[in-house]
Amino acid sequence: MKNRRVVATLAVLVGVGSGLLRSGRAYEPEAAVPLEETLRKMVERVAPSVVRLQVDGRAQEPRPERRFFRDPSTEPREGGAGIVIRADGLILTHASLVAFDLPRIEVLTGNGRRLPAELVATDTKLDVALVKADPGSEPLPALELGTASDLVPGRLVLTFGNPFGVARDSRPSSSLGVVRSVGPLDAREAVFEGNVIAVDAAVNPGNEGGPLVDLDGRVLGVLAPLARDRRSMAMLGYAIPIDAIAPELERLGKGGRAASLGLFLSAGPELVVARVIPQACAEKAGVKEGDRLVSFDGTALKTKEDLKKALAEKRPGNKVTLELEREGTKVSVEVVLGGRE
Amino acid sequence: MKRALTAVAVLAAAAFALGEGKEEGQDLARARALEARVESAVAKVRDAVVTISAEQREQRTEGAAPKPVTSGGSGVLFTADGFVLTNDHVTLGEDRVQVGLRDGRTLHGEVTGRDRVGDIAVIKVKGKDLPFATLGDSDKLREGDLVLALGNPFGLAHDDHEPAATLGIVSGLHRFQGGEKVYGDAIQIDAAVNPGNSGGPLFDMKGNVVGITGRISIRGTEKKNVGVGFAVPIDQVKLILGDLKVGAEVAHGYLGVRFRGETDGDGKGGVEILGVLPGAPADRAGLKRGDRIVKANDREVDQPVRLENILSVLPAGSEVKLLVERDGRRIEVMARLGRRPG
Amino acid sequence: MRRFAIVLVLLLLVSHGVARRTMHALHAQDKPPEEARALDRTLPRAIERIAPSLLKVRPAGPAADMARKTRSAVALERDFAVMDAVSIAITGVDDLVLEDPAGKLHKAHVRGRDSRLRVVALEVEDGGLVPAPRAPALPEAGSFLLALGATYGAKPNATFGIVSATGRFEGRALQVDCGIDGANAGGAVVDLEGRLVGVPVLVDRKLGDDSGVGFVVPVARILTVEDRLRAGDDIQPGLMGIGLPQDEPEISPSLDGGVRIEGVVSDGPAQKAGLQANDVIVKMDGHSVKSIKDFLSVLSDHAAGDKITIVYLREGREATTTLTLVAR
Repeated sequence: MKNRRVVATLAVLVGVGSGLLRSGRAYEPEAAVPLEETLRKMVERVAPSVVRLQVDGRAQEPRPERRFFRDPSTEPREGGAGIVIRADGLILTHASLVAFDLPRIEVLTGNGRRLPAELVATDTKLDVALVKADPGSEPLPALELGTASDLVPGRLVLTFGNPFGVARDSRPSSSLGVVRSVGPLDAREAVFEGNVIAVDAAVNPGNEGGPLVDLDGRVLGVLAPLARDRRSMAMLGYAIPIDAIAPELERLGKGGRAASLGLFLSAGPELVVARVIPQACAEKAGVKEGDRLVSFDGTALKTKEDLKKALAEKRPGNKVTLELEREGTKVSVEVVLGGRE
Repeated sequence: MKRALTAVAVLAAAAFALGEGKEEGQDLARARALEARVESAVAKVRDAVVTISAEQREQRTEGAAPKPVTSGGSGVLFTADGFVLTNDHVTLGEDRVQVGLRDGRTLHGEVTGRDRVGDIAVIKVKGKDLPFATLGDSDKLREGDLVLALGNPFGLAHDDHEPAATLGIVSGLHRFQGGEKVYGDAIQIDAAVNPGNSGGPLFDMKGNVVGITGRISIRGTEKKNVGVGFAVPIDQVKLILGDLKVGAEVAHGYLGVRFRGETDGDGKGGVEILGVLPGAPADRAGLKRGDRIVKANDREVDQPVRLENILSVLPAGSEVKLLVERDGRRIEVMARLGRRPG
Repeated sequence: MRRFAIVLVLLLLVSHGVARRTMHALHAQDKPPEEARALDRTLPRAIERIAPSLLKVRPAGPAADMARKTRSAVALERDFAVMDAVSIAITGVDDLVLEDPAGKLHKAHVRGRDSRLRVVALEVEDGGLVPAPRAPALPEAGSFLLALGATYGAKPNATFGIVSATGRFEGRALQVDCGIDGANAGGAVVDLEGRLVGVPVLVDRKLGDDSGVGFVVPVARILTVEDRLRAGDDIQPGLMGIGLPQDEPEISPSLDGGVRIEGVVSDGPAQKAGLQANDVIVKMDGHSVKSIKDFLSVLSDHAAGDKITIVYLREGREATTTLTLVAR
């Protein structure tokens, strides 16, 4: 009797095992959807959610070409990109495009709409910004946020944006590539300190603020301006991962005012100026890219925490003395603190 | 009982691992199938891709390091008896050029026709049963489509005539770039297009020519690919191909109106005419300042670039049907395009 | 007994069917397979396979301090790796270590270099490298490739592209459109299965870093000179000292075949071997030579110091001679 039970159990096991092995997939390999089809569908879905940002105070040189039948005084200006993340017009973009004290922002969509927008918040650590456009009675198509946590080199990705402003009709350009690497950069232009997603898809001036997306069209990150990595001396296109941004969106969405210097610091432990915000307080005071911050109102600055603490005690409009080191010499400037954080 | 459960667990794990391995194998098979499609597209078309140079080659000494020749470009044979399509700027204005075939031969080529503004030229070489490419339909392209650009980047194919293939996607359509040469309604791609690729063919995955690559955006001063290239759509070329083969003159049409050149419409629909040049085709057709063009050749005109794309590719002397809004009414205006000045 | 046998068979069939149905039902949620996803999963797997052989080459010292002097190298044997010749200016030649993905350091010494292939050989004392799996044959135009380097961190950095053309630089290199720059030069270019196709090298600044025009030296070419590299040779392109005729349009490779000598460099190997202007070379080192392309291809396989046999025609009569190639 026991023998029979053993044999019966064995029979069941063999049956289950062979069933699992033979189950296979529901479809045959020959029916695989061609790459072009996946891409076509994905680009069609994503493109309407990628907008073009035009910001006053960041006037570009009008393009030099003059055409006989055009009005030269109204040459189009190049702009960066933005990602619609909510149908009521909430747009995620890169801080370099909009971080001014009083920017006048317009959002242009690929189907011909021109919407007024205002700056909601910028984040100097994430290097991103939130902008709110007013879509009126016609909501905007929004992109889903994905995750970059399982990205590894070799994964397929697409970049979207407005490289060189080539699209007069504001329809975004897309490019296919792979993840080059995931990790921190060693570049003066890079502000975000965490792991970034470097890609070999085309990234150019005009792409910043646009999305890096996966094959499902979900946002993996916000594209940043190109940075020259000092390890390879290569110019890298990269995105700030959405996983670092998403948890902060609620807080950023509420906006706020705090004292700020009007500049961005390079990633890393040192207090080196990566970018000054055009026409904001640091630039007005004469601070330049590459300057090292030495002291704030007499207090020595050793770490970024020191600067944060010092600013926290001030209000917009306060006047402070900044000591800087520039190419070996000490420079002292007076800054009237601005406020937009 | 425990042993039975263990056995089931082991079997399940084995099945899972085998399944995973099977999935990995299936993924590889599908990736290889995609790769095979690209390989066969390249193999199908590359014999028709030629190098074009407009000047004498210097004396070759054995062992001299092959210097990248930055002049010269590419072209594509589109008939068996030797007609070649290329960019006008590749010919450097010369009427006689050298055409390098992939089989090693170098043939004399004569330019039979040019579209200077649209940057297209047709060359004729002597031959028969030459390998040629089929012209496709650029109309069917969509953003995201895979494309292959073949040509002679940095003159690397100058000596061995072996065209270089690069894979990319259609990054955008209906791009407009003005200037001395007008790229209207152009195809934007992210395939690696470099100096020397000019005049070369852009293929779809079926191996049909969908465009002629001729322009790139560059960063700073370095003239190299940054993933933004432009091709003249083949549908446009087909409009003038007959004329170019026989040497009939091809001139781009113009209307003679001024309109606001911003990137979008002003929200009122159509494009407002700010001024009409006296005596110009628009004037003769009866267009007036204040008119709004809402359609051109039955294509919606909601912003200026749409109008630019449509007008820029039409030959001089052709008629364009315009739907115009004036004083609240819509009227149809037929205008015969004149010769684009300059 | 018979009843039991029937029960057994039923048990077998039922359990088999249930298992299959369940798996089917689970899989039915799957969308139809897509090439896109297949490629998306295949590329990281390929990288995983080559990763153990992809090495950082840098001066000895704490890794963090050496980040900007780190370049890529690829292990071909347990004690033998190669890197790109331009990158050696960054790493220097002294006190080099190879760091494998596990973080283990291997002391490395520069051995020979090949100026034709633009690679530098490194020998490792401890013999603890993982040789890269090799692709069985050269890929064709259109084949998919990944170019991998070790400069940026623990994982390899990757670019993706295709073979643009084979046989560039007289057959010495593949031209590829995946981005090649300081981050991956000297590293590995692999196929979809992660097998080594060749080593990416930097060639000419004018061709642009990461321009979509890159060059890869096939691994087979490097292996043919492995012994010479291990011996510390400095392998240079070899020259015969002759002038070649300027190509004339509309003259196909001549019907007779062969390469006509335009002139001989005085005191060069060709002159010393008795060759003169208007001699037509028809065979080199046993290889039939019908055109300049053939001639240059055979020459590119050789190096300065090689002795080769030349068969040539003078006034219709065939003759043979040998000469030793020299460096520039």
